[in-house]
Parts: sequence; C-alpha cells; structure tokens
Amino acid sequence: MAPVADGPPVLAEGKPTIVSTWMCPFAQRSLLALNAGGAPYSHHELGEGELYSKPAWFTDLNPAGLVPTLAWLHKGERRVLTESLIINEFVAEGLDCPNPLLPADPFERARARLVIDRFGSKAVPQFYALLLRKDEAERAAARAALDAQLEWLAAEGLSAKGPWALEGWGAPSLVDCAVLPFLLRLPVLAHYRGYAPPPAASDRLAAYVEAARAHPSVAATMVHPAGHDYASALIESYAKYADGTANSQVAREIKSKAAATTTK
Amino acid sequence: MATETAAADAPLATGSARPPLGSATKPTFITTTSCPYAQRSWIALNEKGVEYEPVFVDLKSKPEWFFPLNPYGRVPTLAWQEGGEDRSLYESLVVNEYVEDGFDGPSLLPANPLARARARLLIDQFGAKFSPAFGRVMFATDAPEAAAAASALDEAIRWLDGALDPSGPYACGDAFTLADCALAPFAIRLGVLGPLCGYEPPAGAARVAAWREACLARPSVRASMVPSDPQAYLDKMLDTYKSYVADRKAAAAAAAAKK
Repeated sequence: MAPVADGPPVLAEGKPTIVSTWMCPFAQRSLLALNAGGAPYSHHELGEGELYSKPAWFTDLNPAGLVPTLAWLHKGERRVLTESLIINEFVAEGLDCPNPLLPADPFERARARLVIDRFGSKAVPQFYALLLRKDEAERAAARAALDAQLEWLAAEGLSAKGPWALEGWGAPSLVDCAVLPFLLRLPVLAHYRGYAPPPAASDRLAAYVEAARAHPSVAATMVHPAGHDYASALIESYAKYADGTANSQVAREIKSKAAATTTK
Repeated sequence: MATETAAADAPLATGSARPPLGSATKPTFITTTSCPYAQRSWIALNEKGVEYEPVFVDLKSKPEWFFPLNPYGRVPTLAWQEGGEDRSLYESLVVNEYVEDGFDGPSLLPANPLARARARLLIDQFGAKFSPAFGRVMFATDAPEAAAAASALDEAIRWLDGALDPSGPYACGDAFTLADCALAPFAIRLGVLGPLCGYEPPAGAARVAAWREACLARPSVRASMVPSDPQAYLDKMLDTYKSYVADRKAAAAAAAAKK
C-alpha cells in the first residue's frame, strides 16, 4: 500500500499507475486485480479529502474525478482508463500478467462475468442502501434484498468447495476482485446497522473472507496509508454514509433511487 | 426470414412446451422482436455469423421453462445443450462478449487491449447516460417531467455525438464492433419518440445521425429487425411503445386508486 503522495503521479512509459484511495471499494477491486495478476504497476494514493476536493491534476487525468483511474504513457502520450470492472478486464488481457485472472474457456468466462454483473447490480446497491436510507421500512427492505443476494452468492455465485469464487482456482480471479471489497465491508454494516449475513450464507462467506484476508494480494490492500488501524478506520470512513450526509458519487446515486421493493 | 416472421408472430407463452435446445455451435437464441437488449445480441450473433435457432417468447405471459434458463426471465437468453446438460447465458453484454470469444468469425472487438477497453467504456457510459434518459422521455406523465426528460436525453445525445469516432462510419471507427451492437438498438428507437411523444433530437448531432444511418444499413442489423424494412419496423415499434405507455398509465392509475 502506498503512502499518501504529494502532488500528481509521474506516469511511466508502459507501466500503469493506479490512482486510488484506501477507503474506496471500487478502487480496491482494481488494486486486487493488479496484485492478483502480478504485472508491475505503481500506486498513487490520493491525500485525505483529495477525492472530494479533486485537484486539477486529477480532473485533468479523469474529468469525472473518480477512483480507480489507471494511467500510463504510451510513446510519450497519456493513456487513461476508468471504471473498475473495465480496468480489471484490461488488466486481465492487456498487461501480460503472469497469473490468469479469468477462465480461458469462453463459457466459463461468461459465467464468471455473470456473477460479477449480478453482484454489482443486485448486491452492491443494497450495501449502500442499508447505510444511507433513513426510513426503517426502507432499511428492512435493503436487509432483505441483501440477504437474498448473499444467499445466492454463497449457494450459486461462489464455488462449492472454495475458498475462491471460481471452481478449482487456488488464487483470486476477477470475480473475487469484484466481490471481496464489499464482503470485506460487512463489518461496517455490522457496526452501524447490526447486520449479519443470513445463516444459509454465513459459513461459506466466513470461510471465503478468512481465506481472502490471508492472501497477500488482498492483505496488501487492507492497510491504512498513514498506519492507523485499518479495521476501525474503515468503519469510521462510513460514518457519513450511516448518518446520511455522504456526498460521494455512489451515495448520491443511491439516495436518488427509490428503495428496493422486492428482493430480486 | 418468412419462417422467422411466422415464429415471431406466435411467441411462446405460459403453458407452452420447451422447444428442443440447440447445440454449442448452433445455440437457441431466445428473443422478442421489440426488446432493444435482445437486439444487441441478435445483431452480434448475425455479425459474427453464428448459426442460431431463434425462439420468440411472450414476455407478458412467460413460459415456465424460461426461468431455469434465465432466472431473471428476460431476453436475450442464449441456451443450448452440451454434454447432456442445459447451458445458458444472459445479460446482453455478457452474451455479446461470449459471442465474440466463443465462436469463429470476424472479430467484434479490436485486437488492441486499450482499444477494447475504450469500446467497453463507450458501451458502459452509454448505458449510464442514454438508456435511462430514453426511458424517462418515453414514460413522462406530465409536461414538466417531459421537459426535464427531453433535456436529459438531449444532453445524452450531445455526449454521444462527441464520443463516437469522428471518422466512423461506426462507433469505434471503420470496424463494426460490440459498441455498435450495444448502442444501435437504442439509436434506432429514437425514431419512435417523435410520433410517440413529440421528442425530436437536438440539432447539430450530425455524427449520431450519420452513424445511426450506417447501422440501419448494416445487414446484421437489418436481419435483427422484424419486419426488416426500417419504416415498417419503426411503425410496429411505435404501436408496441404506445401499449407500454398505456399499460404503465393503467398500472399507475390502479395503484393510485388503491391508496
């Protein structure tokens, strides 16, 4: 994990720099992919508040001013990619990674993408909804929806034997990179909302998270840049979500959508 | 094509028997004639040159056999039997990447990884900006909502105009890619919004207009249109969209009456 940098990153020819913040699960998805893939990269950690103050060098690189942002030089010209899942597919196929990140078989690859898609569109919004919604009925709906998605994940999305998502894999794939940042934030939901995964899912998810935390690719992303206790700092970082005042992109998007009415 | 029209006119509904599923090399493609998401995959299958067996379903009265193949009960769904097992894929963008990876035929994505990522970004950003704005215009229930929706769609079209490859003719340049497969169905349906609710695209989006025409002329796109004549297709789409709007109004009225 990089210490907080001062000023803009110096981009390298042919070697990507990831601009990220330690607290962002979307940025963590791409850090995980870079670590798991094993190709060389540089890590630029934004300073506290820079994700919100958006220094000029950052919006020059990515006008949306979001993390993760992947940037490098190609024959002296700047190249930039955004969107965690698209960055991850690029890492998998474009960086000559020593370790595979997706199945070689096209059907298995497509099924892996289906798990990523389902988790992202159905489960992730409920993490945020459970934190952001103020109405108790809306929170209950988010709980129920999240329960259903975690049950599906444990029963069908993840491999039966585990610990990793894909059957027979001994190391993280893009599915793990996409899903783990949110599972690793379950303690945040426990702290603010007393949420625990449903019984049917808890064993499989517990085994998954335990194995993941022990893997160097994952452990390296769970470090606070200034050396504070990561677990408590992570919980603290969601205080504004829990009290409804958060103004991040994802917070605004969730707040503007209607609450879940079904668990599907 | 005549067989396809006949099948399209008699979509399989609740109580129907499951048709025999195709094979890995000749899969069953479950679709409807009006869904833009299904059309994304229809175009990709055509463009790749995949032999497939089209099966039309009635989304208002879904066949029971559909759900084991796609738990969402949506189109597009690609299904086949392999090694004695049923296999299926769904979600248009996942299906399209599979069509690209899993079959021989012309490449639907550039070889260069960065160019591939940019094509995927275009698809992703389009999905975030354009499709929701389109839906808002279609279903706006009062004048202020219609005005706000039109403004959002105008902005999305202006964004698209700048995001499409400047030389074209296609979204990413001279090759027809998964970006065209994903974006064209929505751009084609822009032609329905005028007659449906009076929406006209903003002046000056010349690149969008030229690209839309190029897509409508593409054989793989025509082959995903039932009927294949663009005007007849749009006329039929207009009727379909009128009924969607009416259904939604009726549902909203029923919900309001219950309160």
